[in-house]
Amino acid sequence: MEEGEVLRVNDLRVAFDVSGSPVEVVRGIGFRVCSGAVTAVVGESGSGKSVTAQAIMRILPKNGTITGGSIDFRPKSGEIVNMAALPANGPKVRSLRGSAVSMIFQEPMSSLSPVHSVGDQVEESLRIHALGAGMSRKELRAATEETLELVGFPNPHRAYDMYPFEMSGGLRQRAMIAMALICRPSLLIADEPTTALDVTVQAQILKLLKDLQKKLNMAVLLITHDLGVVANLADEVVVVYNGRVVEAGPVDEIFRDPQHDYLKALLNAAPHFDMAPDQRLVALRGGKRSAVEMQKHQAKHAQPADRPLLTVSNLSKVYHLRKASLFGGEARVIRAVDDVSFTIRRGECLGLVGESGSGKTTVSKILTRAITADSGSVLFDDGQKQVDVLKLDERQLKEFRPRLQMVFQDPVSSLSPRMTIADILREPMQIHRQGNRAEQITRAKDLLTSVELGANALNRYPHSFSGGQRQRIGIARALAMDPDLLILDEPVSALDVSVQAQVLNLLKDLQKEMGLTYLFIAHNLAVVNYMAERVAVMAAGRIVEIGPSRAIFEAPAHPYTRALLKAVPFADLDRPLVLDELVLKGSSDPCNWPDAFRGEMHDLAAIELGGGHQVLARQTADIGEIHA
Amino acid sequence: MVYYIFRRMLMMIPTLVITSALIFAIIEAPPGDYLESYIAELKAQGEAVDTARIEYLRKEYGFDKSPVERYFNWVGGMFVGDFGYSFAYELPVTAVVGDRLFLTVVVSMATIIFTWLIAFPIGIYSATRQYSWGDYGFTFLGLLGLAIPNFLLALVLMYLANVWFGTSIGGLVDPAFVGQPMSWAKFVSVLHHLWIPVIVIGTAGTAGMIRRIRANLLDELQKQYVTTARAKGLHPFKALVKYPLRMSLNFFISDIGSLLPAVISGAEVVAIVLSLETTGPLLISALQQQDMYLAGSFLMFLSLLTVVGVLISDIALAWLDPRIRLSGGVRK
Repeated sequence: MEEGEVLRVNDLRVAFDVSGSPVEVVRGIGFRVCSGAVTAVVGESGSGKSVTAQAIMRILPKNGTITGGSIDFRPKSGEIVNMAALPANGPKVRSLRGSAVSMIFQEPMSSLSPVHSVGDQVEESLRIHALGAGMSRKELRAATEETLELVGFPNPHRAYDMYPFEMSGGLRQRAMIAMALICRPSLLIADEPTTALDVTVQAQILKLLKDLQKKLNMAVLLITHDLGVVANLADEVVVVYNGRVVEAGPVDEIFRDPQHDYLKALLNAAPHFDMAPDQRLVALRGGKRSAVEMQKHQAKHAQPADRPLLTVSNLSKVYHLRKASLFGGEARVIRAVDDVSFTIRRGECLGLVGESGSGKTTVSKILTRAITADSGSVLFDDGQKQVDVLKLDERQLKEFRPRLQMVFQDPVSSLSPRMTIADILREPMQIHRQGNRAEQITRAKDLLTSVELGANALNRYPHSFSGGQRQRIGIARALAMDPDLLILDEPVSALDVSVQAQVLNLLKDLQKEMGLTYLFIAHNLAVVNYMAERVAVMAAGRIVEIGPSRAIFEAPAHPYTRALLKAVPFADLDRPLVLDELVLKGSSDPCNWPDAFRGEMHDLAAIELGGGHQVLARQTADIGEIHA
Repeated sequence: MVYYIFRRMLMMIPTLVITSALIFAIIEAPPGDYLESYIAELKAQGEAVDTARIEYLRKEYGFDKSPVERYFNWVGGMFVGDFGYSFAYELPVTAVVGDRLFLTVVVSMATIIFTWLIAFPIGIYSATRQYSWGDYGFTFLGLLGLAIPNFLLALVLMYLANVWFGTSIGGLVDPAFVGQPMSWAKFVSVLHHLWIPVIVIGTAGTAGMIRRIRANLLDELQKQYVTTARAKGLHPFKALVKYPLRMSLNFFISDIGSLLPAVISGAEVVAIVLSLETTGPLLISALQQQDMYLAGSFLMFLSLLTVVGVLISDIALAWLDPRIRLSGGVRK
């Protein structure tokens, strides 16, 4: 171990016991973390990056064991210890864990116990380690509140007694960071610390991590799949693939002069804002797909092109929440969807962008009649006449359903594990009594071919497919009814970058070949930019800005859209995150917006900026004020 | 909190009114009443029927009145502690039940404590060492406990107790103490006899509880916050008790609601086999003989305990789990 190194991992091997036989998932990974510097381990799911982090902390799941290599760690005081050689739950490892080396996890929701107060959980690290020994309750609490303040809690005294479920995701992740930092460790391991967060919150947490790392002069080991995060945070980068290091070096060399094919592919697989309009993503794996002639109903496509396929007007949905507790307390009203109007033209892809809680999923649920809107109308043009989707009765609704289908976010839970792929694809046809068994099977085969899966998939169960393949099965199911409109609710956010590229390309091809119309719901702006011709931005239940993608991404008018775009980390060293005040204060809260954009719905209007680009602002506000 | 408890208490009133009406209706439903079966019995034994006495009884207990009137008499009486009169025992219901209530509570509490003492350590052991030999062994024993009918186990244990320890068969006390006031010697005798019903009644419950503790704990052990606790450097056992075990207790607390009524009734078959002086057999014989006030009041008492038990477990849940305490539900 050289001077200045806090952690040196050499030829680390970890094997998992899978029903009796060992499977090696980390096959000789080695890297270093220097004091006061950030080393990023980058890779896709299954690459072994998280297992490496768990191995360093010695918190591997029960069936995982370190089978080789060394993990040399130098605590602030004391000599170098080889973490790999010590018993995992022995006193020596336990005394280092949480005090000298600590960890934050991806899911701030599930990483904290829901029944213990935040203060209790943060303070616990202090109580069980030498640093907190002999401290009185009052001193412990003071130290805890000090750390809570350090990680940016506006009111640490109040936060101490709060429970995790009373906090937003961003605050929960801050609490996790406080828990990891309260003993002032010399090494912090951050395992996908911002993956589960909204983009503006991610930007806040990244800034916080960077500031704290400088302030406390910590070494940080960052585990992530997001090259944008790496570019903004890391000093050294290790790229892992399939349990091995494929490339490692200073961040400059990695981004400016990538050598390994995998790294090059990874850099090209993610959509970014500077793509040419017709540029395609390069998928890492997966072959060419041959266009398949899909049978189409002729009548459906002979229709006037000027009428929009879907016209949504003044949609509203209000939830009544009983605030405080079930022991009384006043009712609170949440406007999940607040006077939302938009249109989708036939054959286009409308992107619907917003952070969690913005109401975008509620809109999609109203369109599919999964929940009932309080007011508003949804007109669907079926070629001959307009139908109001919200007013259809049971029978009419069943007839209408094939026109509008959905693809869900989670490819694992949206396919029944007890049905074969053939059953899954035939189910919609059976419900709508289309064809006999043989015809349905033929159709299912066609569908599979159209999503680049072989007919041999028919008799297999979903668990034997990868995430990307499952998502393609979900798409095939949605296409089974030959729909006009597909609602894609975060279809790629659960997928790895390379698989994401494949699915996005597939969706684009299908749209072109079958004349499909998409409502593409996503939080990833680059993905929306790649897919959509027009974009609607939602915040606090309202559409705050809508227009052609180019206009939205190049000349955003609404402060929220601007904040959203500024908060996206680029996989480009020359474009570091520059966070303005609005992002740091919380851009999804309308209270932080300038006056011209605030107020009740009846004070605001969609102001036309030209070319169909509209922004929600006060009717009295002039264009100059909006552009300010 | 006070407001919540008050509201819940208020909601108990209509529940109990409806239950009482149902109980009364069901007991009234079969043709005839206690006096008719009493007369039939006397006639069958060839004894003279004292018509004057029957008439007197009929008037006294209101069998000449309409069912609705009798229902209100019965319910009204309960408010002043008059639960009616047991014809079979020729005693007020309170006097009949009171004697047995104490022994029932002793047996049931002992059973519950036995269940917890056995089930918790085994459940935790099985969950933390899933698929070990110990886990398989306890699972096997537990399934055995679930599968063996209680009355059979009762008979076997009764026989063994007599052969090995010379304990008299059946009952809760030595025959010498029956009818005697409570004394130290009688108490010791009760303890001698207690273990058989406790084991018999407890086995099935213990086995079920082990399975539930194991399943709940296994779910919780998978959760991310357990890893967080380990990453803090917490001792594995302390981490287990503070986080997953605490979380897996919710099911256990909701169980308390059904526990209260089970303390008083429950295990009737075992009680009959072991001829225990508890309330279970009493209820069955009262129902058979159409001893309606005894049966009705007893059932009312059970439903009251159920409602109170559910309230207690709800309050305990809210107290233990801040998510229930602090977050209101969404009104659609």
